Amino acid sequence: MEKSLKSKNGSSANEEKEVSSERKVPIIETLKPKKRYTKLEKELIEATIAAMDVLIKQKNAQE
Amino acid sequence: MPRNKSFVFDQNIFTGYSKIIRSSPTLALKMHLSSVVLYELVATTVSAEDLDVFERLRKLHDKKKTLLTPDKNDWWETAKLIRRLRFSDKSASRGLTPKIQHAQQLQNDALIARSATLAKCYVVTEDITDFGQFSPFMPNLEVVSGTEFFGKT
Repeated sequence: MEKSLKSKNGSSANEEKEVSSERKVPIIETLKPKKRYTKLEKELIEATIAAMDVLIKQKNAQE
Repeated sequence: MPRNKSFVFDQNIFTGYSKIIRSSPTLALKMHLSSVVLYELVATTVSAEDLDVFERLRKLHDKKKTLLTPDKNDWWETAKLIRRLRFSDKSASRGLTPKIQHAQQLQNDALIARSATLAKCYVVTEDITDFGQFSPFMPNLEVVSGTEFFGKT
């Protein structure tokens, strides 16, 4: 992020290129999944899925 | 940015990338939830059933110590930040800050940014420009776009 802020403020083209090549892989793909979940973690995953279902439902209703 | 660092999703990320977030359990476990974002989400829900869903999410994040809620100091510091932006004070690190007429609208974003920074999280948002205005006042603030985080969808 520090680099991207700097680039907005007028860094060189090389720096821009460096930043873009560095970020080809989305961050989500670099996150390591856990193999085992605690009870709280399982509940949190289920709650997140339920919340996202609400948002998806709302979005579909608006469209 | 360390890839193992936790993050906070802005409201526009939850609404714009809900299908991806739903399908990735890792995200649910790595994220911190901002009470300000939760407020923005809940303010748009209508049914009692939907409220229960977000209430459960809030309680679980609270239990896991990943619920970020601005305290009295955060409100005070945010007020000073917004004031600086509004009246174009000199920041400590980068000289003059451009005048912003709608600075008060940035209140929620500033609260999200401050609490995320204090929790050593980075912010994922579609409003990179708005959050970028806080950088002179929050040197440790890290902001990432939805595209950078999720890739092109």
